[in-house]
Amino acid sequence: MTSNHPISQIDETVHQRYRLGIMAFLSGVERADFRTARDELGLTDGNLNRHLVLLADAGFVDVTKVAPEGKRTRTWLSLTPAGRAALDEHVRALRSIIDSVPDRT
Amino acid sequence: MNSASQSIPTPANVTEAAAQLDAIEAGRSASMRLAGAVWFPLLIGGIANIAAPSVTALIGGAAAPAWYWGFAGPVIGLACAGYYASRPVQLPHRVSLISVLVAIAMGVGALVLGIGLAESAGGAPVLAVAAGLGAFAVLYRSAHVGLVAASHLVGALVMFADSSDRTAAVVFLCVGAVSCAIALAALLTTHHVDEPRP
Repeated sequence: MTSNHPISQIDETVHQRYRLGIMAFLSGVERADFRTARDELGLTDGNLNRHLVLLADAGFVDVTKVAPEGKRTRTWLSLTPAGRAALDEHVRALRSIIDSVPDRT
Repeated sequence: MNSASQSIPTPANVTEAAAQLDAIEAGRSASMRLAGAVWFPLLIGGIANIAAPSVTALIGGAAAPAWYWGFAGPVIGLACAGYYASRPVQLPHRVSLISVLVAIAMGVGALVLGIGLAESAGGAPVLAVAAGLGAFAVLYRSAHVGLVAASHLVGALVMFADSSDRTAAVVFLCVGAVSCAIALAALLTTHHVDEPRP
């Protein structure tokens, strides 16, 4: 594998399928509730949390806890500008891989 | 790393890359569908249409429709804003902003046309609403809203052909019933996330 190959553009943080699923889910909206994201992605609390920590450490996802008075705490997840850029870059890399094959028919 | 992540293939081949692109698009579409659920606006819009003939008859006078829709329109808009603001998955700010602008244009357009052309072209305000709903159908990528827009368009054409009060009442009742039926279909066929979870 050479550094010029599109595969070298793949970011492993984004590429992992659950993290990619989380980022894709968040890319279509402004923000999503933790529970809804968990249920839609079919993950457990712990599993989603573990991937969110990695994505937040990379600066791709913002996790905000909001506790309105008298109501339960709500955790909002949103994609940061860096996360959107990373996802866009990943999509470009995937398209490059597809385009690198001249004729697939 | 758990077994799930260990089994992930790298996108070293075209099939894997294409599958990942499809998965990204599917994830993005799923969240947009959840954020842009349309059953609530269609339902209250339908109820407002069904109530229109009775309420305007109670108010009485040529200006009754303008009074009714001048009150009902903002109430519907505020109710929809509250509904979308309370959703557990929220629309991008850009879509929210465009929605507000379309709603204002639709409401003001219908009201101005209703007041200005009530005598000569009774279907004009309904046509303005049909155009606004068409814009929403594109914005939310919703066939349900598109169908309701089409029903308003048909209603407007009927009212252009016959501008009597009786025809207008029948059109509002029919359009309202269609909106409510499509709202129910949208509620039943679209996965929604409104229920409180344990």
